[in-house]
Amino acid sequence: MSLLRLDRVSMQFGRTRVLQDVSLRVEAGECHAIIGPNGAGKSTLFHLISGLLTPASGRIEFAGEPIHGLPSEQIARRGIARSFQISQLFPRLSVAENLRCALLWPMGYGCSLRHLLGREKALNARVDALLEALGLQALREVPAGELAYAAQRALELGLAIAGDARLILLDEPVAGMSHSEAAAALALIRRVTAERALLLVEHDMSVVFELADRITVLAQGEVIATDTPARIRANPRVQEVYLGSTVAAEAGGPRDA
Amino acid sequence: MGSRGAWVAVAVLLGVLPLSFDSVLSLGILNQMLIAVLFALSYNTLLGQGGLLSFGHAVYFGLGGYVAAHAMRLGELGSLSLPLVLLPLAGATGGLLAALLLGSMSTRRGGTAFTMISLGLGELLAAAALILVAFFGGEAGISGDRTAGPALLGQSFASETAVYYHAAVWVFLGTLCLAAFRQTPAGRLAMAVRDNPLRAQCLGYSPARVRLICFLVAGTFAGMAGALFAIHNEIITSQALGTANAGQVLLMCFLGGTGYFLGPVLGAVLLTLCTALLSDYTTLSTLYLGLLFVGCVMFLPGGLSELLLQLHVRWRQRTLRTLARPLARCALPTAILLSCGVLLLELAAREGGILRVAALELPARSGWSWFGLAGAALVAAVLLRRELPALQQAWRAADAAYDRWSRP
Repeated sequence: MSLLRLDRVSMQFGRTRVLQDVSLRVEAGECHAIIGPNGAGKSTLFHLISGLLTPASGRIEFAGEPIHGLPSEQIARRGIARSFQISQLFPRLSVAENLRCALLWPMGYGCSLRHLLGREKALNARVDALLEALGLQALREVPAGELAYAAQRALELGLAIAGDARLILLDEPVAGMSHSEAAAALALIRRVTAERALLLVEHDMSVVFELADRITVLAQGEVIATDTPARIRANPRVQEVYLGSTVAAEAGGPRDA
Repeated sequence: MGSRGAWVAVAVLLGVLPLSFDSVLSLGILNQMLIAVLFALSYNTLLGQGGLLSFGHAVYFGLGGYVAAHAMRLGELGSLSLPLVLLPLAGATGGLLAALLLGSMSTRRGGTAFTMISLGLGELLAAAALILVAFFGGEAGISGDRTAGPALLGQSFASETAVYYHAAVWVFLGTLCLAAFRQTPAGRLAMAVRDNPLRAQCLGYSPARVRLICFLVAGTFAGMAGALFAIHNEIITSQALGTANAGQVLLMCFLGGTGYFLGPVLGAVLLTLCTALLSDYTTLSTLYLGLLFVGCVMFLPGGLSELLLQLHVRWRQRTLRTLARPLARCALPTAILLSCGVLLLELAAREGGILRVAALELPARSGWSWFGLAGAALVAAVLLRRELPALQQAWRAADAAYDRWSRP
């Protein structure tokens, strides 16, 4: 059984069709990338899965249960975490506080009134571990709103991977990072998602081909192909609508079809 | 907790204050301050912590007060014997229930929707208080005798000192609770929802639920403050519920600063003191408070606590000295400008007669007093304009030093 299953999902804003009969499966433990030109509907797809939007028609199932139409918080509690293309942090809270907020639900505190955060050793140890993994220890007391761009992206990633989500949606996690920052972020993503499923939107093809077990190509709201990276690269239809020369150029080296 | 020493110091201060201010008048002012502090702290739980701007917070203060007043009245009639020391708990319960009833509607949305609903509910309750005579007692309000209840530990609360200590204990406990609330998961999530409800939602928290919890806590302690108000005055009227009272607490929080826990305390103490002292000298106290509010929002958006913190930081990095000279040069023109402005306003408020300030005699009907004051104000304003750039420059230079200092 697939962990996440989208069945003929459609979405429209007014009379504009954004997604048309999109079907998609993400298996437990796999890294699944979604690629496509701008305006293909990738971000809309993420909003539908994470419950920020409700599909006009179709079904979305997570672990065998329908989740379309549920509010975001319910979907998050079932084990889907996400990051945003434009960082969504808690700007006036410190970096450590941001991560602590992300851990409260997964660690069973919820909206408790009975605990004092300073005394919860297990929670704070996990915050420390996350800070170290993200390379943000030196910035732990800085308000998130005052961080430089790269550190904001790192924290955004941290909020998505902090909990114990079974499926993580990452929307352009390394966009705008320098080469070394991106490499560190990729290593981190690979490490924390080793046991979990990952659904990834990314424009950097080298990242996609490095991480993904399977790739879905989306263009103008429709799925054109879903396959392994090697076959996607070789797929003539994909080349026609989207990739063309970019894959060969950005993935580097001769095609290994 | 590292701040334990500070709490002990506050407790000691509350204990010794009545020893030096022992007249009935100053005890009354101290009492008002305590009540205002708790009310303002409860309001800042909404505004500073939860990011919820409410124009109807006086509703929970007032309802808590009515509950306490009714309990006192029933004690007087002999049909209920609740010791006075428990009345703040009754008031808190009243505030909590009212917040539960009204808050479950208003906290579903944050932002402007919440603010408008709070304003509507505030007006509604203030109007209802005049119509629903059975509970609110119409224009006369509800009055009770605080000494009528059963005495506890031989204390009957006849003296102002006893009322003060009673209020001090409850306000101390309430402050402790509100400070602790900030450290709980729910309290921290209120800040998270304030900053970014969308992100909080995607992490598994319902923003509406977090807002409601924050609202309930604020309502509870507003109710407690209202009960202390009713005990202190032995009467409560619909004014306590009204938007004027809600505006007052907003002013306190803004003046003190909403960004820090102690900001509203500062604002409440200062404003209570100003209101109490000003009313002896002028009939225009509300006008001055309004001007103070506008000035605060324009020039000190972080409130006094932010200003004090910045001065403290500059003191520690020794850049305060560079500010001393330009500050001193601005002080005299500012003082002249402000006093001339005040005198002009006082003149404008008079129909005739003579305004006497120290050795100065200003006939209200004479053009000379108007032109003299306006001229002096104008000269002061010109001087201030010349001196201000130096102060601004020094402040910015100190700012740059502060940034270097805080981010190694």
